[in-house]
Amino acid sequence: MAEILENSGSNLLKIIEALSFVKVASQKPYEIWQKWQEILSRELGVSKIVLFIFNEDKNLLSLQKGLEIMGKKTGEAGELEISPKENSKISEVFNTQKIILDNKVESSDPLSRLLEKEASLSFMGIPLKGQNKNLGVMLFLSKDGFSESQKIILPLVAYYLSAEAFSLIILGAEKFQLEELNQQKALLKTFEGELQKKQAALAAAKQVIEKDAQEMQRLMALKSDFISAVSHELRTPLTSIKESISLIQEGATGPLTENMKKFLAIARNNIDRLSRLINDMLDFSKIEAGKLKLNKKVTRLEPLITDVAKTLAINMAKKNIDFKVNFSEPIPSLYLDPDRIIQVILNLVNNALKFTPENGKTTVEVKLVTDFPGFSEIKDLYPVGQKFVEVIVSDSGCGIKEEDLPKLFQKFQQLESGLGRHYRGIGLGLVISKELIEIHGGKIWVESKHQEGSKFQFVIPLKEPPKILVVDDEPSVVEAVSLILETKDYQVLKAYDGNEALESVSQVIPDLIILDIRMPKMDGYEVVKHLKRNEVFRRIPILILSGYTVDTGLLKSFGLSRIYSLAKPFNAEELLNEAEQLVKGE
Amino acid sequence: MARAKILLVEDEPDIREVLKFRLEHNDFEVAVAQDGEQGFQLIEEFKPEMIICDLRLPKINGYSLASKIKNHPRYKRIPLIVLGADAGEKNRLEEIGVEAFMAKPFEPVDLMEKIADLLMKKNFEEMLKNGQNPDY
Repeated sequence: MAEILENSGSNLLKIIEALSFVKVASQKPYEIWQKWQEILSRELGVSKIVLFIFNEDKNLLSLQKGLEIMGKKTGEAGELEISPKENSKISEVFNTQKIILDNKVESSDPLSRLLEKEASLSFMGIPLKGQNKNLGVMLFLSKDGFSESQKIILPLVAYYLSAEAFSLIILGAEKFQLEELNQQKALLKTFEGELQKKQAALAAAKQVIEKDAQEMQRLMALKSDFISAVSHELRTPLTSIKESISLIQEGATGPLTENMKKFLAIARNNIDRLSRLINDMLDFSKIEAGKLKLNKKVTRLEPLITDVAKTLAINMAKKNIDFKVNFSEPIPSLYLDPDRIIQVILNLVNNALKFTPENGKTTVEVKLVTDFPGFSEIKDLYPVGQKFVEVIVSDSGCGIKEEDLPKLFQKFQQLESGLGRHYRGIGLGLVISKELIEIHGGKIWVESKHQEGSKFQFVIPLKEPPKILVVDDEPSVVEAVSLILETKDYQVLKAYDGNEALESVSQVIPDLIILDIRMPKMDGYEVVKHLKRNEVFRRIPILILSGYTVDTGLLKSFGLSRIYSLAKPFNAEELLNEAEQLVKGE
Repeated sequence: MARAKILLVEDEPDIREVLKFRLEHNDFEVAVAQDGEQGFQLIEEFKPEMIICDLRLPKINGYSLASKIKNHPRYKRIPLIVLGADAGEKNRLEEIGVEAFMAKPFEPVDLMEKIADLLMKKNFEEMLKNGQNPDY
């Protein structure tokens, strides 16, 4: 026995030396493990080492497969996990904390799955004990059974190996985690890279689109400027031609023969046609460049249309056309651009005049409506109960084929078929009319029966004239201002001191306040101060009307950033001009 | 009553000529200027009752000339008709107090009517100011 111990001791030292040397020589865990196996096989006839480590979280003994076969993921648990409660030699060693020697692993033992053919070999199971807990089980397998010397040496080797293995596992795990982390970082970086690439691509694409859009807009503006310049250049010669022809036509230069009159009239007509074309071109290019602006005013439609009708009636009479203008009811004052609305009406009536045969009929009808074809599709755009002014221009002309109807208001649409030539005179007029009506918030459309006539109609929403609150303690001033404002159909609200003004504003929000400064009880400064404190009222434009010097510093300190003021006595035109600009928000 | 005096500021010789002919034919006394600067100088000398000017003029353009006139203490009451190419200019000019804007090529009749209206309005206002009864 003493001999065995002595031999074992020197043997053990030799083996440990060899095992520890491996660790110095190699750095890769799986190589170390393999070398260990080789040494143990050579020195002690151990054919296999198996290590199970107890996983506290899972309460399972896990095979440390990684140490055996893989290098990359040291310490990775293998497929075999054995519960300490299971009927297995591993559990037995773990639970009893005793070394077990046996010749065979039962086939019911989960361990047999791992060992397969080696299940019939002798094995030695050694419990691995940490400071306060059981760490796992190491298993040695041997073909020739275990000698007395091995029985002494192997547990010691097991402790040594398990200690080394744990350090490897921990090291490996850390390394693995680090690697994993690095990999994830790399992956993340790749993703980030991808993401950045995609973002860059997106940004580039966006830039291209924006640049295209900018370029487009630039070109449109350029085109509009070009057309504006060209049309100016064209207008100048047209003006002198027109003037010259008119002077001759009027007889200012001497008497004319019938033929002279006839050909001068032809020249005149064509000059007019050219002028209209230039105007249309200019309007059209403005529409395209988004430069078309409205100059809205409080307008009475009735005198406006009647006036235009008078000039049109002369031309209608030449063709003996029965021309009528009907207002089916009184139309209230409207807030619109009168020049532009007249332009539309003129365009529609001139078309009617062109296409109505001699002795035909053309009517203009104006009425108030709350409904029209297609209203249901756009009714959400308007407040409930919105009223519209409808203008209908109907003629007894040749009409328009059904398939041509939608094309009429489209840009660059030439009507096909033989009718095309007849429609040539229409030009861009309808396209421009459509735009003008639409920027007024309205709609234009046509109903027509081929050979029977056409009915062009448009609606524009009825917008009430702006409301103006006039505040002055002197009733005669309030009266005078009101009278001036009412000539332009503004709705006038009146207040005779600061308190009344604020009360009036809280009931009806006006579009403009014309405010006196010197007033008893509450003066104009106080009114401004109160208005500017309120989120809604602070937006109401204010026109100061005062006979004294206005303390602009004080007004600014109350938040009135731009001060519009008129000194008393003021002139009516100035007042109306200022009011118009302020109501428009300019 | 003396013939009404109209100052015509227009750089385009053809237009200048036909308009001058037309105005004189309609019994106005006409002075012409070829650019904004000359036009402004002529006001003092010629003392026009009305000014017609083009919008695009050399030296001082029509817009500047119009605002110079409309900001002048004595000249601002002289009715001013501006001739231009683009009807869109109308607002800008009305805002500085220009009485009328006509887009070229305008109807000769419309121009004559505008002149008559503005002269009548001016006379009316002056008579009111002087406490006389207008005899229209």
